[in-house]
Amino acid sequence: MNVHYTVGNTARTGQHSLWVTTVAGPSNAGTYMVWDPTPVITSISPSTWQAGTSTPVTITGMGFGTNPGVTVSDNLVAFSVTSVDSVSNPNKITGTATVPANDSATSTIVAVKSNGYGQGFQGGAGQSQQGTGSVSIAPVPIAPRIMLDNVDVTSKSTTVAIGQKISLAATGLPAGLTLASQNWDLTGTTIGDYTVLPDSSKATTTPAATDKQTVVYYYTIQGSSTATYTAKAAGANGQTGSATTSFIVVTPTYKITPDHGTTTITGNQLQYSGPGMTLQAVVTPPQGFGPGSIQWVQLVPSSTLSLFKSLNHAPYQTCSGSGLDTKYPATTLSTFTDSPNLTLDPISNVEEQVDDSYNTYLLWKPNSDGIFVSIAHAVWSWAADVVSSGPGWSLKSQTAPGAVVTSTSIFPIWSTNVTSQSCH
Amino acid sequence: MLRLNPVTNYNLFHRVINTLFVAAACLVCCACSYAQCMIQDKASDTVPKGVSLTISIDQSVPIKANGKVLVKLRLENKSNKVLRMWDRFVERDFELRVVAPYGTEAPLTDFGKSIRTPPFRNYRNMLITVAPGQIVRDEQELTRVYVVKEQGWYSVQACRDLIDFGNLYSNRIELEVK
Repeated sequence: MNVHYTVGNTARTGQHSLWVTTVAGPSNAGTYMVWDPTPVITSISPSTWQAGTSTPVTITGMGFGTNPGVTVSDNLVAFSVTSVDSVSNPNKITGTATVPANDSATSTIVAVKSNGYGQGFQGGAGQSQQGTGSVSIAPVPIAPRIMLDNVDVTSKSTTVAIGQKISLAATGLPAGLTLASQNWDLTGTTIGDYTVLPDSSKATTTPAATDKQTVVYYYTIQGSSTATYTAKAAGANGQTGSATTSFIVVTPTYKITPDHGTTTITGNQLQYSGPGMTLQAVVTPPQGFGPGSIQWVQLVPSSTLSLFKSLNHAPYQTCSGSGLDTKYPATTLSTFTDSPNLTLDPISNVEEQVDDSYNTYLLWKPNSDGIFVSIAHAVWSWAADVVSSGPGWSLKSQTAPGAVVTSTSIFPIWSTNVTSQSCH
Repeated sequence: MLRLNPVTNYNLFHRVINTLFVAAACLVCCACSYAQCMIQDKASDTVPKGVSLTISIDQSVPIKANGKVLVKLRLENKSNKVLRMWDRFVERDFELRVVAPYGTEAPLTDFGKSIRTPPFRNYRNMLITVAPGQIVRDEQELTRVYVVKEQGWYSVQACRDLIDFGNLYSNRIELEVK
């Protein structure tokens, strides 16, 4: 005789007896064991959980028991059970999976652990207390925005002037996201800063620091340019996100009118006088910008003074120097003048030769937040050779060509002052 | 017999002439420190009335030895003349002279020596004017030029060379160093 019957989910676990009763009476009893079923997950919906958010989840299957537990192998994920239906077929568990933004896992295992049907889980040999399924984890999307002075300029174009402080900040990064790297890609010619030490002994330029969430820099040449921010998440996903903003960089126009004088000797004063060099500047700011301010900075690429005790012999002493011409800035007036001179020494010398070259920069600053940037420079020189002639001096030769003015974006930098002469 | 060649002979002649000329000039001008303004070492008597140079020190005295001393400079033109002068650097423009407690000029710093030792070169040399009624203010760190380390009273004076009128001297101030 074959007997078919189903043991219900809620059947009492443990040893059960089975016997057959006929007209002749009951048979002897046979025994069998009833165990709680191994949980089986048949689906998890949704099957992809988004990092950085909380996702409502439904787990379906069977054998979940009346008080199941849900665990997730990715211990960064928090799962809270909202409801359990272990009566319906299939069973259902609803809950919420919260995946932090910095979770770099690409998938995780979800396990439903049965605690039985009111008596604790009862299982036989080889029976598992839990069933498993897997879900994918989608990395948190990185969609930064670019702010310029607290205004969103992402995918927009802004007109700025050279020397204007550009302070950009990337926002919109997922909270808690750990970044492997972030970077600003700046096209065009930029500078992080132009620094002159308080005592004017040194001037340097530094590039912008582009590996942070904010960047501060200045354009030095007109034209079109872009600033692109890219962030890359840490971990296996390594997802990236970027944003770009555009700039139209404008520059002032200028006119420099040079004029030069002549070499004179007055008593023991040898001078490039008249003034020796005059540079008159008229700077017109870009449309839409204020007048800004200007300054002149003069460098002396080379300066040589040769002193002679005897005519037609080699100098007994030569002094040379280079660097910043004396002080920074040379002047903030629109007209720059310079009359370099030398006090001749008739006691020690019968001949003195001076040979100087000058590089005079015109810099413009658009506003108080900006920095001075070069817009033009004038290259000029002065050389003179004087000999002692009785109680006075006479000019043997002189060279004082006019200044050559050209546009430039090169900053005047130095590490010495021309007043620190080296004589040998 | 030793004979000098013509060039050397010429050089010697002119050096002797020059030396005599300058030596004569130095009889009336040589200061302890050989510099642009004080080379004359006397106040000009052609400076227009009403032109004055005043120096002051804000910090409370006494000064600590080797401490910093900021000298404030004030040139006022109350005359009806326009003053012309060179704008070079403050230590050259307003030359200080500091007399130490022992009565002679205080020692110069290396920087002080460098700007008061020939050859005297002025690269940045801009002509500026001071109109009637105008005041020019500047300040200078005294210890950039002089070593002030002895205890006692120092005397400080400034000098400004005016192109058309000669040297303008300031008041003297006494500075106690402890």
